[in-house]
Amino acid sequence: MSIKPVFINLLKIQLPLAAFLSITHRVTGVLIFFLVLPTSVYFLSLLLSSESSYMNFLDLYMNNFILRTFVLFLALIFTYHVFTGARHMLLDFHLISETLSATKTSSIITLILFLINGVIQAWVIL
Amino acid sequence: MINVNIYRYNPETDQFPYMQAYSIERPKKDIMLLELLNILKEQDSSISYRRSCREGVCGSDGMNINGKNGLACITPISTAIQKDKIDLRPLPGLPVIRDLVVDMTEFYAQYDKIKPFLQNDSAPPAIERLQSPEDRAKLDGLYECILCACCSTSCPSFWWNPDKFVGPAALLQAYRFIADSRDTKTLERLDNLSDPFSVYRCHGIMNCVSACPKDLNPNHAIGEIKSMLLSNKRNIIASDGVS
Repeated sequence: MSIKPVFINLLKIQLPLAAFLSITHRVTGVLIFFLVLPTSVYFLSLLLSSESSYMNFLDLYMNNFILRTFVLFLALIFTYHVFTGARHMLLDFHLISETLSATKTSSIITLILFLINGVIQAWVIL
Repeated sequence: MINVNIYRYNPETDQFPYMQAYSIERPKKDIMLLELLNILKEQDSSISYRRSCREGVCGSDGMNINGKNGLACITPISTAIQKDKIDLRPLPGLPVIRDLVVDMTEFYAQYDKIKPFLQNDSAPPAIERLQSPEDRAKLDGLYECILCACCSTSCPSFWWNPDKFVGPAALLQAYRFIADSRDTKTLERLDNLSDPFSVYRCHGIMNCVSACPKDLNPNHAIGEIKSMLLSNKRNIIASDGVS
């Protein structure tokens, strides 16, 4: 007997905004573990190893736009995960009612707050 | 004209599933999608789908309609149609037996797991077990489920772990018996769900609520189960501390 096919084409299945937030929360969680944390620790070790390496790194950071964009990118991943995670916890504590409209509104609010926060982060870092 | 694209797969002749396009004159009346399928079946008798009651009670004709799960028999073509086009696919995540017919074994296995029947240790009374109107009201929004699988098969957590995550439909039924004042196995039922997968794989994606053709809210039931599991744990820890 052959293996039965399974229909699971995500491009053909409607997913609500809350699903998008949940899936990207997952993805950013993985990125934090494998990208944000290791690079942050690496940067911290560069800053703390000696006075000259601290000055070198600071000099590089101030003059290298790509490095600052990369740091902004790391910060955005982290805050996105925190924002969507906070929404998820509010849901778990029943502080957002489990209705379609409430989850949709809370998803939109989360995204708007993240965008405002992202602009502020970009303004501070760049 | 309406263009209807139907997911076709015949295990005896096809190696892979494909989409077949049908064109049909738009009926004057706003008929249900199931009736449209019946008309198409007169043209092409090889189209396979399940149906029985044709009024949203049996839950046989759950399918993916333009990307959203629903029952064909209570979905008018006017709400299903998008740009004169209707795409019909089988329920996502379950093995396809033929065309729109899926193998629901995994779905029923999860339903079986939650012991979907009243359990009561005390001797049965002469006539019936009584319940106050308030206790009865707790079952509203739970008992109406027809097990059409529209919710569970729209749930990404269920796609990932159909063997370990109980899924919205069965969890709604689990809560139906947990909330029932006549059932005495509440703690055992909760204990049965306390592993990391059964309930906690739900991440509030809400696809179940948006798909449910009976307008039920499995997500709310899951939230209640999670809260009960937590307070249950707290009680056990507290009682351990005393002893």
